Order: sequence, then structure tokens, then C-alpha cells
Amino acid sequence: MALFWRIWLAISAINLLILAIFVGLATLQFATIQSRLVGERLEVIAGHAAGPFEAAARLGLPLGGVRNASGLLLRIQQTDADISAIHVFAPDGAILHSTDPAPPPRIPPGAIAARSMAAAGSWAGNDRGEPFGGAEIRDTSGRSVGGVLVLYPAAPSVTRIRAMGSELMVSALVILVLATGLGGALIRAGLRREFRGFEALEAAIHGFERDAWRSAAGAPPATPPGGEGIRARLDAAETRYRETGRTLERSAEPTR
Amino acid sequence: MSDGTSIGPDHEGLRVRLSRALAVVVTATVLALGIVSVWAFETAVAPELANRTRLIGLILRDEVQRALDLGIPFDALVGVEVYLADTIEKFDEVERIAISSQTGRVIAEYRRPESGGFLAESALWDAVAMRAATFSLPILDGNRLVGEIAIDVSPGFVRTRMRDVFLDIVVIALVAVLIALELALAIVTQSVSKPLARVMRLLDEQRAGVFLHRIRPGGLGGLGRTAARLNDHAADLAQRFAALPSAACARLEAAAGTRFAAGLPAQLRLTDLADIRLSLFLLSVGSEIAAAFLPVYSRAAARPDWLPPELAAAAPLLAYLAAIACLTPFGSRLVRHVGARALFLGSLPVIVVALAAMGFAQSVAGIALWRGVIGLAYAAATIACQDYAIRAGGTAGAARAVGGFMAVIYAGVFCGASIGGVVADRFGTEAAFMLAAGLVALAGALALGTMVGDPRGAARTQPRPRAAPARRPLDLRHLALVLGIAMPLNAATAIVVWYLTPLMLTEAGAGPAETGRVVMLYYLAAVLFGARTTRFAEGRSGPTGPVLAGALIAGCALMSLALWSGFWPIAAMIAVLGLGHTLIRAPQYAIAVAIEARGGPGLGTLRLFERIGAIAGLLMAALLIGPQGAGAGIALLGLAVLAGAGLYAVVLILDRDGQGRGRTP
Repeated sequence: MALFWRIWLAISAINLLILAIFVGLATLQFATIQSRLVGERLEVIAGHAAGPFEAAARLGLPLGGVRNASGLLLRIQQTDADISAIHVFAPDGAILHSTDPAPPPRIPPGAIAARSMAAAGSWAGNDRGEPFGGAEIRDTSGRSVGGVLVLYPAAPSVTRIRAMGSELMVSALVILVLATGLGGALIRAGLRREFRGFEALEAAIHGFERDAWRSAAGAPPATPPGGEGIRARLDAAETRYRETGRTLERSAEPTR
Repeated sequence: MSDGTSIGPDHEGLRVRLSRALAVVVTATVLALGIVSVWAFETAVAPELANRTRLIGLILRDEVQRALDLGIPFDALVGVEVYLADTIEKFDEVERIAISSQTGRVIAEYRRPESGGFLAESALWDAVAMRAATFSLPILDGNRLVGEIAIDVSPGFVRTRMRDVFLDIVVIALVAVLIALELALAIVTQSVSKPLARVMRLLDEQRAGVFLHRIRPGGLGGLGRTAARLNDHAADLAQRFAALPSAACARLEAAAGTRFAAGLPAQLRLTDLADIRLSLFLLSVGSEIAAAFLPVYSRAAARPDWLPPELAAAAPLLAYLAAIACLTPFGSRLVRHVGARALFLGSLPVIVVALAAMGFAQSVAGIALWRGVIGLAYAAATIACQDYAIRAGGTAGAARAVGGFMAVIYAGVFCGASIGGVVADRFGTEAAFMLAAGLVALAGALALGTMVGDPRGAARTQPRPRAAPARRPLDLRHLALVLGIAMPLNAATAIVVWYLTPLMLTEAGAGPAETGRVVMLYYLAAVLFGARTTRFAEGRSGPTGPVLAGALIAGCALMSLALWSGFWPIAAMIAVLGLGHTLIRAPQYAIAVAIEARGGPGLGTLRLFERIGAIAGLLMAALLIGPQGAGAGIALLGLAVLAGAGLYAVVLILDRDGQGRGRTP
């Protein structure tokens, strides 16, 4: 059984490692999917919010001068209660209008980077865990005169990712328990021959030891098995040891 | 196996049964967690998908409503399909958007074209994944309901998003099966078979009256007790013998034919291939971890203006092959002088440092230099292991020991290529190199404890080899084998598998993980069928058939790229090429050994020309073929492989009367 437990333990450890890697990769993937889904939606919201500002830009009006801009943005924010802020910004990133009563002077650096790398008119990303989506506002010549940025808080995404990680971890533990049971059964069945061989080996050694202590107490010696098995070799080696020991004893006697 | 004296990892049956059990357990685990993940993902993203669908519906309804407010009749809306197509572009999960009237007549509809993909179309996933969902929003003209907007969400959305995770995990599961197999075999070896072999050896000595040795204590249950008992026999007799006067000692040894140790009995050290299995496996994993991305990594590094990017990509491979070719002829002499254990343990720290340095190297020269250093140290370490394995097997078991040695190396290379791709893709190439350095360091730490056999090993008990017969410098069959089979095989491996495949797949937009999965396919056949091919070649049919069949398969696989191109044809070509090469590799050595036995050129000549073939092929490919023209170049190489096989076959037919008949290769 000792051999079985060792193999079973090693295989269970490998299984645990696979499950841990799976849970880790799946959670990372979920974070990516979640962030992309939210980002894409915010991108569409930003595009929708940019409409009235683009109409003004096409008429040649400056973005900062759009009347009731805050009202327009607040109406968009009301379509999703989770939106933390919507900013309208100038080409250099300076915020012109915002739903935030105390907006920062400029849009976050992550949004500036995503905007500079975007090939299309809209873009999305993540700034220190906060998902965002943005859209460019263009004038009649197609030149960007600014943009709209929609921000989401980090907390709901982080909570969802943690919940997913925990759910997968619990499932993995249940699967690990089942898989180790299955592994144990399969190893027992598959390595039956080896385990039987090891048990026979143990039995042969145990038989030899038992006969040795019994004969030391005067029991008649057991009939030695024939062949070249371990028991026969143990008996032969023990006999040779005892004989040699007695010879040494005899050789030592005259000197006493 | 009546008393268990034949429990050992070399037993093929044990390996097969253990592999089968492990494959079932790992597959069941991965499949179960895969199904659970899809369910969990779909449940978790459902609110966000609902938000998105609601948003699409609201925006669309706003647009339609605006048109209706302008007085355009609902039935007369035109050009809406373009708007719907734009919307679908932004939302991958939407399969269809339709605007229909109250009577059910479809005013506008756009459906996403079928994307395909095996996970999206899998019947199994259809059974476990979410059903298609449809969301509807009414459209009002004033207070009158005039129609609705219907949005169908694709049921395969989450599955396609999880495709990469599943593919990565399949690779990790395959690697885990091989690691678990090696670990289980190491447990059997260290717990039972090695202690048992030591006990049996000492028993044989002691029953013959030789009490000179003791053995390393240890082993499961009774084996540990027996080892302690036998050690005590030798120590006890040695102590009592030492107490006798010298005259009595001489008399006793002469009369009884018994031998006693002078002082503490010497420790008996047995050499076994199993001692180095796990270390060799980890060394191979670590050394080949960059197989999926090395040419791309090197091409992207800083290089002098005169160096074309193709040569920059091939430079580390060329340095590696050249280093191996330089060291191989002196390998055996090095092992004789330094010893297998010292050479192996001495080479590993060099590989660890070189792998870490490769991870931080900024220039092509640096990457090539460190890869060359790895080549030198890797060649030294593997030669040391091979020597250790041959000594473990003795002369009679040398072929089997080398077969086992090759199987461990290929399993390691298979794992290295695949796991390296996954790690580089997810965590960057530096992380992959650091992992490789860690694995090689672990291999060294394990070898310190396990590679403890007698440096002279079983070879000590073998008769001295007879003087080598005079060799013919030229043998027609050997020449045909070298030029027609061995050199094309090695050239194809270096050019196609190591060099062009990573470059071609990267050009096609694949990342390191995908490239690793494809490169891994080349070694899959060697892992699955390597041992069987060796036995087949040793069987009645002889080695010539597999060699020619393998060359034919490899040539056809390479030529297939003249007809097809793209990711899947390359993956299929690599897998079939691996199969062809697996059929060739062991039988070609058997043929070379047979030629050597008849006084022809030695196996060393074949190995030397293998390296030359790989280096020359790689150099030519780097100078003449870029990733753009790779398909045609590979097809041409296929033609060369087929021509080589034809040359070999013709020589065999012409030389049939000249040299051995029947099955002599």
C-alpha cells in the first residue's frame, strides 16, 4: 500500500497543479473578456453621446461653447447607473464638460494612450482597473476636435473577477477530490501487477524475519524455498553470515 | 514476478498502463473544469450581455423613432441594413438583428456570417453551453405599436472567447501527463526497484561469502529493514575480523573463501538509467523552452546593419548546432577524463546562466553567443547521460538504454516547446527563459541525489572490447544513407521545424503559444511511436522499410505546402513530418551500426554529417528563403527528401548482389 500512496500522492499533486493553472488562466481570461465587453459598450455609449457635440462641431461651434452640454451628458449617464463620469474633452485631453461636479483637469493617462493608439474613431481600455470607452468628435473635414470619454468604476469589475476566481476555485477543489478518487482507482487497477509483486516481496521479507526470530527462540527451521527468489537468497545469505560468524568465534577462542 | 523481484520502470507494460491511467485522470479533470468554466463564464457575463443588448436595442429604436417622428412611414425605411451591419461589427455576441412590422414582415435584417472554429461547432459544447437568446424591443409610432426590434445573441460567444484558454490547457495537460509519468516512474525507482536491486546484489555477494560492501540504506518497508540487516552483517563481521590476530585472519580467509572488509565496508553504488531519467527530462524541457519563439525573438533583437533579418533569425540556431558539432567528436574523451557525473553536474550551471542571460540579451550577437554556450553545455550533459545510460545497461543492454535515453529526451523537448510557447505568450519571453533556468537548476539538484552510480558502472564487469577492425573509409550504402536519408532529415528539422515554422506562423499572426502547439506536434509522433518504431526496426521486417516509408511520408508532407498554405496546412505538415522522421530515426542508426559491424564507416561519421546537413541547410534557408517564400522553399526541400530516398533505394537495389543478402540492411 505504501507504494500506492506515494504514486497516488504525486499524481494528485500534479492534478492540483493543473487545476491551479487552469483556474489562474481562466480567471485572467475572464478579466480580459469582462473588461473588453464593458469597454466596447462604453465605446458605443460614448459614440452615442458624441452625436450632439459632433453636430455642433460641424456647424463650426467650439465644443466648450455647446449650451446645456452637462444636461446632455447627464441624460446619457442616466441610461446606466454604474457610469461614474462622462467627460467631453479638447484634442489635448483637457476636460471641457463633465458629469463629475469636480472633474480632473485632464482625462486619465490610460485614455490618452488608448486614444493615441486607436486607428478608428472610438477606443476602449482600462486605467488602473477602471474600464473606459471613448469616441472622437470630428468636424466637417474629418479632423478631431475633441472627444467623449465614458468612465466606469473599478470595484464592480474587480468584484466580478474575484467572484469568478472563487467560484472556479471551489469547483476545482470538488473536481480534485473526484479526480483523486478516480486516479486512485485507475492506478490500483492499472498497476495491480506491480502492487501484487511488491506485496509478495514484503511477504517474503516478513516471512524470513519471522522465521529468523522464531529459530532464535528454538523453533525448528522452516523449509527453505527453492529457486532464486528473494526468500531463497535471504536464507542463503543469513546461513552464510551465521556460519561465518561462528567460524570467527571459533578462530577467536584460543586467544582468550 | 512471484516475489516481486522484477518491479522496475524499464518495464514497457508499466509505462503503458501508467500513461493510460494518467491520461484518463488528466483528461477527465480538464474536461470537467472546462465544462464548469463555460457555465460559470456564461452566467457571469449574462448581465453584461443583457446590458449590451439593451443598449443596441435602445440606440436602434432611437434612430427608427427619429425617422418615424420625421414622418417617414415604418414600411418605407431603407438603408437600415448598413446601419445594422455597423452595429453587429461592434458587438461580437450578436448573431442577428431584425426590424419587423407588427404583422411579422421583416423590414430590415442583418445576420453575422458563420465564423466556424472547432469549439464553436462542437456538439459537446452545444450540449453544455447556453442556448441562443433573443431580446425584443417594441417600436411605437405615436401611441401605436408598429413593430419590433429582435436581437439574437450567439450561444457560441463565450466558447470562442475561451478557445485560447482551452488550447493552452490541453497543452499543459499533455505536458502534465508526461511529467506525472516521469514522477511516478521515479517514485517506483527510488522506493522499490533501486533499493531492491541493491539488496539483491548484496544478497548475492553475502551468500557467496563476500562481506566487503554495504549499500545505501532506504527503500519501502521490508526493503529498508533488509538493507539495514545486510549492512550490519558486513559491519559486524568486519569488526570481529579486525579484532583477530593477523595469522588467524590469513588462515581464515584462505580456508573459508570468505572476504571481509578492512574497517567500514565500502558502499556499493549501482548505475541505472532510472537514476538520470527525471534530471534528463527536466534538462530537455529547459533547453528547448525557446523552440517556439527563438527565431522571432532573435530577429526582433538589435543587429548590425549588414546582417539581414533572416540570418539574424537563424544565428542562434546556427551557433547551437555548430557548438554541438564541435563538441560531439570529443564528448566520449571528455566523459572518460572528467566522469559522467562531474561532466553532467558541471554543465548544468553553465546552461542555467546561459538561459538567464538569453532572457536579458538585447542583441542578436548576445542571443547567438548564449545559445552557442547552451549548445556546448547541453552536448556535454547529454553525452554524459548517454555514457551513464550505456554503463547502466552494459554492453548487452546498450541499445535498449540508448532507446530509453532518446525517449526521455524527446518527451522533454515536446514539453519544452509547448510549455515555452504558453509561458512566453502569457507572461513574456523573459519569464519563459527564467522558468527554463529554474527547471535546469532543479534537474541539477535532483541529479546530485540520484546520479550516484559507480562511475565505472556495469561496464566494469564487461569483457574488454576487442581491437577495432580496420575500417573501409568509403561504403556505398553508408554514403547513400548519409546523403539520401540522414542529411535531408536533419536539414528538414532545422529548416522547417526550428527556423521557418516559427517565422511563418508569426507572419500569419500566430503568437508564441500557437507556434509552440504546432512545433510540439513534430515531437508528438516521437513520444507516441518512438519505442514501437525501434521494436519494429529490430523485428523481422528490418530497418530499411521504415526508413524508406518515413522518407516518403516526410517528403510528401513537405511538398504539401506547394498546394496548401495557412495555419492548419502548416500544422498538419509538421505533424506528418514528425511521423515520417520518427519512422526514420531509430532504424537509420540500426543500419549504420550494421554497416559499422561489417567494417564500414562508424556511427560517428553519420552523426557528424547529420550536424553538417543541419547547419548547411539552415544557412542556405536563411540566405535564400524568407518567410514569404517559405512555402515554395519547403516544397523544394520535400522534393530533395524524396530524391534522397530514391537515391538510397537505387543504391540498395544495385548493391544487393555486392553486399549481404536477405535482411542485412
